[in-house]
Amino acid sequence: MTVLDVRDLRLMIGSGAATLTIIDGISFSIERGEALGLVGESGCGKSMTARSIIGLPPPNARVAGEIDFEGRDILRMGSRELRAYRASQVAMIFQDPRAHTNPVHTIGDFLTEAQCEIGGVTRAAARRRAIELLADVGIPDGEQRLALYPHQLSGGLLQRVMIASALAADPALLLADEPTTALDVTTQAEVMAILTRLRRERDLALLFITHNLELAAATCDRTAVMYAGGLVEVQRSAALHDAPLHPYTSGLLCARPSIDHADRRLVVIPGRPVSAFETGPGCSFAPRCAYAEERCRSEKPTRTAVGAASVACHRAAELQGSLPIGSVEAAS
Amino acid sequence: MSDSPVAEAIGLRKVFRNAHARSETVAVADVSFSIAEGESLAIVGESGSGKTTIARMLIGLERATEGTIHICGREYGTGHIRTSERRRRGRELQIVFQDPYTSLDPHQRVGSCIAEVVRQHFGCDGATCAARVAELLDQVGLQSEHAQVRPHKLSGGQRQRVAIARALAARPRVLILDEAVAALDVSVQAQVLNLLADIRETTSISYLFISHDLAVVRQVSDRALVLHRGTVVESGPTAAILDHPSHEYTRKLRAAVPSRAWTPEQTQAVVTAEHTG
Repeated sequence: MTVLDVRDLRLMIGSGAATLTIIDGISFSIERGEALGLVGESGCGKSMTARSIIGLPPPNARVAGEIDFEGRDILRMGSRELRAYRASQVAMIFQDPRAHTNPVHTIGDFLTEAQCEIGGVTRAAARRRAIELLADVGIPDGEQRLALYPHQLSGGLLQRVMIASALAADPALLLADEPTTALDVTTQAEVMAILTRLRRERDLALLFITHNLELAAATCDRTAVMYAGGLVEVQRSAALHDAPLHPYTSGLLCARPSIDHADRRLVVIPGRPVSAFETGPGCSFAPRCAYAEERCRSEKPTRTAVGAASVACHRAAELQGSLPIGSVEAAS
Repeated sequence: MSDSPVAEAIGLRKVFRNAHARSETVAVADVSFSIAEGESLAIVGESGSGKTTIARMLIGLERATEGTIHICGREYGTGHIRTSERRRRGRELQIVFQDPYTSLDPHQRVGSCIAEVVRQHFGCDGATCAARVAELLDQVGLQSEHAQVRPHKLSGGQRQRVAIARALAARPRVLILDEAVAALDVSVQAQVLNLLADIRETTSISYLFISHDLAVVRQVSDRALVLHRGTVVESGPTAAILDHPSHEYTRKLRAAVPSRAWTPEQTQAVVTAEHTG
């Protein structure tokens, strides 16, 4: 069953001549129990995608297209309906848990407030549920932890509390925006293990936003690669790593140093990542692409299916199977 | 290459006293290392391991509780330092910080920011100074037109190049890079890593490369120290440490890095130990 179906989503900021396009028509869907990784560099629009889906775009933004959650378009929901959707059907966790908890309230307040306000349960029942939720995210002594304040917990523990809070209302869809970026690698592994277990147990649809292609590949069923406000490639994670279809994906795989060997020089993508409003008439990646030809600079490619995957590249068919996935030295 | 190390730290220890709680935090317990001319040494560790405190002690922002630091054969004392001595140290040791958004003055044009360092250390006239600034910008892959802009016009990668140019302006023998590529996007990070490799190939500069990222460390360093809670748990050639980690902590760190066949694993013991109270 499709939980989320995003069609031709656009997001513009500002008005008149000062309008900036941030998201330039993206489409994807997430099934129940499926994890979709959304990978991109800064400014590509991945966080704005999540904010659009939860119905909280910036105040001066205009969102167009369709975001169907279980068949209802959230862009056409009234405020009451939208509030109910956010309260019980979708949840979000963020990069910095400390910025999203109130430092003067305890973990107990944080985990029980929404349950009491929206779920209408008693404080005692909410506390019991909070302790269960903490146990679910690998915090066994929940009873004592409820009395603690955010500053008394490490980043990794606080992120687990955020996950517990996101799951409190039993949502069908979880949006995770760089949830482990601020954490150490060993803590990241633990938080990812918990997130992966919980989403499988609860059959959650997960949109996992990250800049780390390896992390997305290791933890998500499919990976969508975003560049300059558009999706350039969507593929099963395992296949994406072995046989990328878009030159940008290939470039990202090559540019990342390997833990297994050192290269004299890394194969780089020239230039810097751009936003949707900085692109020209052609393919947004063309100015940095080693494979770009005349057509790429004048005509925007649309994303088309290649087997089970899809890619937005004019030369996808001829490049298929030949794009590098690591440095030349690694291949030899 | 000479035999004596350009940088040497022996028995470094740093204890922060918290007067309010009457407690002590040992940030760095006992760390010794040396860096040969032209060598790149990495200090690897997670947050709180003490890696930045070591950098701060080296450049004199923090006073070591115990231990000695020798750079270019001279001891860096911690008492009162005369201006001439501070300048001399500036020509021996420079640092590039993690965040180029806060390490550059937003009001100062790029050219003036680099020229200031050139003038301070080499006191040259306007034309020579301008030529040196242009040379430095070229060395870090920027154009001479960039001298006229302020940092807000630059991308994160370009800012970090400016920070590197500013550090190189003093012609240091040792460059400390404290998480210098951590804040950069993957595609830009690769460019800066290549730049750092180029600089090392064309000069005899030594790097002290501080990072939490094992893949980046493999790319830029010859030797590495693995730091855990202020103590060196393992040290040696980077390739050997990463291919055959001997300490349990290094193995755990290595296993936590996502890769192709990786599945995240939960270690139960950490739950209680992690509580920072």
